Amino acid sequence: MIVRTPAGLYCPAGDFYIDPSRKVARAVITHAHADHARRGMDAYWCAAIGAEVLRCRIGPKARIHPVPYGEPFTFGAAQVSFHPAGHILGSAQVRIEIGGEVWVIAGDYKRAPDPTCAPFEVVPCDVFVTEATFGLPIYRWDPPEQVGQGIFAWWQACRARGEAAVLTGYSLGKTQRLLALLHPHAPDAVVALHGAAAAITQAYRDAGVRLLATEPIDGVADLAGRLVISPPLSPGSALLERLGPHQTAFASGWIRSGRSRGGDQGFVLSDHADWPALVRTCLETGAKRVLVQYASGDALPRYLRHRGVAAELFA
Amino acid sequence: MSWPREGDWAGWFGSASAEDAAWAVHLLLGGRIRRIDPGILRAALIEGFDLVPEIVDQSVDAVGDPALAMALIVDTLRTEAPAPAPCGLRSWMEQRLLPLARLEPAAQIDAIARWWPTADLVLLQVICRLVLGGTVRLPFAALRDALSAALGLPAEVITHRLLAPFAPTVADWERLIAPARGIPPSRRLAPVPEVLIDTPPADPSIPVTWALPGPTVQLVKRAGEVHLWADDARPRTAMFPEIAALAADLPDGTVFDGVLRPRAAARERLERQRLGPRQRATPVELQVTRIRAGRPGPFAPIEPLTGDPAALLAKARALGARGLRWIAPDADRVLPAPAQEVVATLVYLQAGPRLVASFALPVGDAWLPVAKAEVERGLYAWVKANAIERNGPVLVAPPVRRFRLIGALQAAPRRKAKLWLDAAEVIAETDAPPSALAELVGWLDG
Repeated sequence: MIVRTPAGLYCPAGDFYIDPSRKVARAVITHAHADHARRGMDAYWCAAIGAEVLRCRIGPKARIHPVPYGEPFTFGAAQVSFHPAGHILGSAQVRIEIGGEVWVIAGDYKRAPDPTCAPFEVVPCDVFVTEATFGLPIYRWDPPEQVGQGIFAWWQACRARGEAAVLTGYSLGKTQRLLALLHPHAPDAVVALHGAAAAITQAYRDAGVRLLATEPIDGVADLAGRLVISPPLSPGSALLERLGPHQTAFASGWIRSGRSRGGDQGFVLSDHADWPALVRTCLETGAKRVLVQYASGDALPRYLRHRGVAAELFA
Repeated sequence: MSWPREGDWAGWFGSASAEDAAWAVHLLLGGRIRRIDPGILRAALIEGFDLVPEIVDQSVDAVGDPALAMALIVDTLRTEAPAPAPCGLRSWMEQRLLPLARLEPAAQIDAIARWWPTADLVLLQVICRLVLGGTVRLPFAALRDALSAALGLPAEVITHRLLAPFAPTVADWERLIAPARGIPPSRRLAPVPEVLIDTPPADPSIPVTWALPGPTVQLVKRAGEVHLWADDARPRTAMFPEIAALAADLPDGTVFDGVLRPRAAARERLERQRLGPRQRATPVELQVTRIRAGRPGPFAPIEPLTGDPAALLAKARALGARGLRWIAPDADRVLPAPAQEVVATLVYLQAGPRLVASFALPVGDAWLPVAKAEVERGLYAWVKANAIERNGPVLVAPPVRRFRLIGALQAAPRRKAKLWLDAAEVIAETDAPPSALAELVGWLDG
């Protein structure tokens, strides 16, 4: 039903691609991150709530067909629908049904609660195509509220010392999740936000997501004690130079295994499923076959086979 | 029992029992326990969590640190949050980790699996690292500062006490936390103890000296012998025979600091190994800058540092000094550590262009090296004839011949003896008993 091609996952019966990497006529997009949504496709189909975010990334002229979660549409013999993936705003699993057989392409997903997007929905299927970015039994995430508490405490410690607290994370998804996560701790705070995340953050607000107030970092004269959220910065960057005394922290799942440093502090916060969530999801879908992509090894399919599920790398 | 993060040790020590604190210091200094086969830990994970071996291996490869990877696997796969056991570090070490190496493999696996529910991720890492033969060493400065903050003792005192061997016992902990007897001398570890100033301090008890240009040295007359030490703690007496000759009549116990002049000729001699005719052509003299004990005798005496600040500075300029130098009040040894005599036993001899011997002190059944020094050629034949063992060019001598050595005694945390007689010279063979290591450590401790 779905095959891997140089341009990405392809459905011959419906003649469409999922998250294509090369120019194609019909691109079904799981979410707007740059390694999934690329410019130059003739037309895009995505979950309706993520359409504006996608437009921020691929340009205003792109032909985007927004489709609400759960609403089926047809490409040839294939009936397609989007279902929440819980990764970022508008992230979707793609359900494809042809002649009674159901495949679900999960894209990137997580099971942890995230106030910025709809929670992951388990979609029963025959074949489940899962990601495995953190597909090793070394990755388990603490509850996000606990991480939020830790980040807030770090910020307050910086503030007490008169230092700016520079929190870095990807501009789409992680930045907005941080703004939402910290909202209960300091609802009246105004965060200095890097320009790269401004438009996307506004798109989140327009979609009704409650975030901390932000202002452009360039407009803030004195950043002492302020929280700054920015994409990852290289040491010695002009922005860091301008900040004066500051501490940096990075929020990422890779912090867990020590693979990502580059800050005074690291917080384990990921928008992907951890190992327990990957295993649980594969089992809960009831899929007879699991295909694993975005994995650095074959630990997940090996483990699933050990548990009696037919699983392999999607090669 | 939990294991604090690096910045939280001061608080931990502040509330720990003496037994637990002693174990913590021992481990944070790099103490190890007997390692177990890494395969045991791997087997415990596979068995305990129903894993496939390749998955454990891939995890270890991904993390690059087996101890961290294994701790992460436990923390990821256990289904219940850890409930720390109420026991302390000493119990963990003495009742759980130390006996582990003596168990049969199956019992080791069982024992390890029993600990998982009572250790959080940080403690799991510590356990995995220790049982795999690693250490949980804390950067020395971090440990020193944590102890200093927790115990209210100056960092220098903690430094010196930590340089002595430390066993995880209450006795060693109590030695560490005993009230300070004064700031111990420390040439290498203290901040630069001299500061160039342009205004003499108002308090006349604060020592100052002329900041004269030229290489600084310390002259010591001890046991009838003259020693001239350069400020890198090397004895350079042989390179300055004219100064040694002048000092020959000084009474024992004389110690003073000075500078050598002219500067260029003095530097050349300090840097060379042998005194050639060219170096002899320019005589070098010693200008005394600070008398520590005795009188300067035939040497140019120190100019009295009296008068108002303006006059002092004018005098400094007239002397060619850059100004005045304030000597940190706690710095007993601004220049090299005073020479210390040690009686040690010859244990190794290495032949080469120079015949260099290693000398050691006995501690129990072990010989802990404390110095290296050049010895007479005549010794080679004896060592060769009596060598216990030969390792390449190194001959292992029977530990029966003792020598009087003189050198700069330094704390040396990386060496087994925790001290080292720097730049040692052999004075003579002796029948005297070997120096007691504990006394030398005590001397260093002030």
